[in-house]
Amino acid sequence: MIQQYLHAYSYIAIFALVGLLYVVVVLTVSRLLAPHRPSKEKSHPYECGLVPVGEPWGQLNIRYYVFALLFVLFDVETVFMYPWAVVFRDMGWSAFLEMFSFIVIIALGLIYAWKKNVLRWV
Amino acid sequence: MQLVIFFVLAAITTVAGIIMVSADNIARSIYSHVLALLGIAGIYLLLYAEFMAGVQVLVYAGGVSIMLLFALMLTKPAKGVIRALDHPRRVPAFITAVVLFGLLSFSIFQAKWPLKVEPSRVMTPEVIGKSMFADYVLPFEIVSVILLVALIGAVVIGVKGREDTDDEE
Amino acid sequence: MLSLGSQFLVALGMLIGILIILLASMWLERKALAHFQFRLGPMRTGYHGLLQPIADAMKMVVKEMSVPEGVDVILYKTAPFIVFIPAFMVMAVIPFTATIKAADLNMGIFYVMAVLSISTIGYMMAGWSSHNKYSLLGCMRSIGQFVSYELPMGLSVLAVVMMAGTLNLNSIAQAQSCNWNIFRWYIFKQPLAFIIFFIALNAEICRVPFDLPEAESELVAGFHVEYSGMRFALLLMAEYVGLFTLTSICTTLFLGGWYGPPVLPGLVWFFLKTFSLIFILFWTRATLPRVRADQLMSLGWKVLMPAALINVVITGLLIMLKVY
Repeated sequence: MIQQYLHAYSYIAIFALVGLLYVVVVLTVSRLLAPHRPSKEKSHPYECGLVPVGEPWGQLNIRYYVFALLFVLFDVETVFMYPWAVVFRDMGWSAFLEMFSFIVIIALGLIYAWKKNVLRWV
Repeated sequence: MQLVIFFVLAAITTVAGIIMVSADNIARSIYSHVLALLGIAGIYLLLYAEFMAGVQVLVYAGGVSIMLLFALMLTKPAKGVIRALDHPRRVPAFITAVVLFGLLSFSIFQAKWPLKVEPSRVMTPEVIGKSMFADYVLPFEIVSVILLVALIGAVVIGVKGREDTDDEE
Repeated sequence: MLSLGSQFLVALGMLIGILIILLASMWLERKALAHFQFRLGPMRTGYHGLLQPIADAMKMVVKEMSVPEGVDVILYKTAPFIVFIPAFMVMAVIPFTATIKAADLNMGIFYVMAVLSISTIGYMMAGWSSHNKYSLLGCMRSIGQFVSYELPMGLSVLAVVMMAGTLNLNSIAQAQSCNWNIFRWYIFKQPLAFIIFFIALNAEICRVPFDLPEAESELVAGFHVEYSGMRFALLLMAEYVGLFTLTSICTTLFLGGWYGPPVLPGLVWFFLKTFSLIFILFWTRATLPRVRADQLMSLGWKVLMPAALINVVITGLLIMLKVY
């Protein structure tokens, strides 16, 4: 069990390492082969050929934040459902009903957000 | 081998944490926060708690940091640098930090940790699921109510934000 | 059990494999799109343009990587790493056949969801550090899209996990083992979950009709406007790696992985199914126009999310009643 676990995760570490090596290698090769001639015009931020107006790092609408907030909450709820999904077949009706009430509570939250028009984009 | 990996991960986590609190560029601070969280996920993996590591990456590194980045977009930073965060009262802050650190490490060393975890036991999702629905039913249902409360809070913020801001994208 | 050295070789083999798949799917996409529009597509480099992607790759390597002024240099240069590496790391858990696979994780599908969420952080990094309005809007949109489609995707996966009783991708594929009786595939038992998963997959890899983050007619190219040369190529490659890995996950979850009627070997079945899904994505791209931002959000939150929740409940009931 432990052996299999360590074997599996050493694979993950090695895949991360190989990915990293690949990115480093292609960037180095490109650095050696590609020209490097920076100029003032080239380094302008792209704005359809015009001189950029204003500061791009501006303020954005709060609706993005609200969606992120909802996402985190529902994400936590989904995470609770995974261990349940793995075992509930052997656990009988009690586990099913517990999760059913959990899902009903999630659904209540979703319906509330819907009714309050938070899920509306425009 | 595992000890070496632990120290590497701990070093990554600590350095990322220090960068996170000391960087005066908020975006960089958030990204080093992500790195610190990934280091902690690695430590979970070393403790054979793979599901916890997954949750750490999915919810914290993925979800919470996206939320932080969106919060950053809500502010009006000049090039992401917020000087106002650099508060002048450094000495009291330092003393508070040292006292907190002392208290926490004292209680960590004092606490009697249950050290009876069998080293051959991997915390698979099956184990977690079984104990969740056998021993921890009530906490689980309370969690669902807490999440619902948080959700209602998020919706209230959303409704308020919609009234306050004009549409701009 | 393999030694670390042979594990490294396996990973290297997977890298070379994915690079070939990537070039092949780029060629296939250009050809498919061209034929959908009564064009021929690339014809000059090699037989029917077969060498075109290699020529493109060589061009990318020798182009200048310019760094525009005003960018946050550290984040700008790190972003391609954070986008590409997680996309590649998903390859580690895909079971191509019973024997051709790398890591056999207990939490296979959960690992995939977790790693994909790190890629998103990379997109955010690329878009924000570029110091450009189009990049910023592009990355905000891509995160908004990810946030809205990750949940239906996770819930549709949950229905499959309930059927198989495991998170391990290898065991999920084995639960659908079949010879001629392909009705053991979960697509026939979980059609709704498959549809939700496929739409969410399309949105997560930001392809038409969900290509708002890169909408070239309004945002030029989205979060990678300011990237050039090899850095741009890495972002592009990560997209195609994501296309392949996610469709392979879809094959494993719903189409029985490498199992099929025993007229073809398992690996051929796997690639046949995966590339059929990829082809459907190209077909969608050639057919549908881009959706609006509000349509995108309401599809995710008001249609797919409730549908996925109801699907989970119905699946649970059917399993409790011993129908499945």
